[in-house]
Amino acid sequence: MISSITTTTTVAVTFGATLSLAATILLISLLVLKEMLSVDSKRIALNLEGRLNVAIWPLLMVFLVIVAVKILEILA
Amino acid sequence: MADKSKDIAEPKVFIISIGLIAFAEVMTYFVNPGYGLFVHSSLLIILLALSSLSHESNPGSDIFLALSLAPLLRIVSLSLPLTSLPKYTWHSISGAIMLAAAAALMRIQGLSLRDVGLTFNSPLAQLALGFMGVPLGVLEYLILRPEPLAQELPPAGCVLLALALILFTGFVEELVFRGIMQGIAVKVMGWKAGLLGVNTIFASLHIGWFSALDMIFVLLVGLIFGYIVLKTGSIIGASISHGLTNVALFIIVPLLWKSL
Repeated sequence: MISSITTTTTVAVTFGATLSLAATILLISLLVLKEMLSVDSKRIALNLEGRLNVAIWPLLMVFLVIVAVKILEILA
Repeated sequence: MADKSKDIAEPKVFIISIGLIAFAEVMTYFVNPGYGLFVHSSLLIILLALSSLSHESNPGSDIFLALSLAPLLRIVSLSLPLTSLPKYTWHSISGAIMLAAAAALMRIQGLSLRDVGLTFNSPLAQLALGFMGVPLGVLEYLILRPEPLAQELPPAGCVLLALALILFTGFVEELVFRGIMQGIAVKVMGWKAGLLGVNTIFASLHIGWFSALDMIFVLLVGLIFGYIVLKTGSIIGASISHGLTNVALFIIVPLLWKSL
C-alpha cells in the first residue's frame, strides 16, 4: 500500500534525467513567482506567496538529492 | 461561516479535482511520464492558486491546499533520481520529503498535532487496528506479488528497512491522507464526501501498480482506516497498520514465499 513509489522506478530508468530537469524547472518557476508576489502588497498575493512554500520546500529537497547524486556519480 | 464555506468549496470543484488527479496518474503510467508530470505540475499550481484566490471569502478553500499534496507526491517520486540510489533508500527519501511538505502545510494552515490526529486516543482500538496490518500485508501480497525489497540485506539492514517503511510510508502517508487531507475534507465537505473523496485520491495514486484488484483493496482499506481515524481522532493505529502492511508486503512475505 505504497502510493509514492509504485512502478515509478521503471519509468525513471527511461525518463530519469528529463523528469529531474522538469522538476527543477518547476522549482525555478515557483521561486520566480514567489519573488514576484513578494513585491505585491495585495492580500491574495501574500496568501499565495505563503502557500507556495508547500511546494517549494519539498522541491528544494528533491533538487538537493539530484545534486548530491550527480556529485556522487562524478566522484565514483 | 459554515454555510459560506459550503457555498464556495462546491462538491463539483472537489470532484473535478479528484478526477484531474486520477487523470494525471493515467497520463503518467499509461501515456507518458513526462506528460503526467506536466499535468501534475499544472494541477499543483492551480490548486495552490485556488486555495489562495478564494481564501479571503472562503475558509473552506483550505481543502485545495490539502489536495495539492497529491500531485506533489507524484512530482517528488517521479523526479527523484531513484535508479541511482539503493532500492532500500527510496521510500525513506521520498517519505522524508513528503514529511517536509506536510509540516509546511500544517504551519501555513495553523494545524496542531492534535488537529492532524497525532494523539493516542482509544489505545485499544489503535492497537487492534495496528495489528490488522500483518494480515492486510499478506492479502495484498497475494494480489501484487512484488519483488522483495530486502533480498540482499543483512538482518540488521532488514530491521532498519522495516522501521523506515513504518515511519516513511505508514506514518507519512497516513499523516498526508488521513491526518491532513481527510481532516480538512471532512470539515469542508461533510464526512461521507470527505472520506470517499480522499480515499478515492489515495486509491488513484496506486494506479501505477497496474492492478484494478489492488486499487479496490486500497480503496476499501483506506475507507476503513479513514472511518476509524474519523471516529477516534487519531492516526496512530492506522499508521502502524499501514506500516506493518508494507513490511509484510515488501519484506516478510516475499522472503518467506521464496523460501517455501
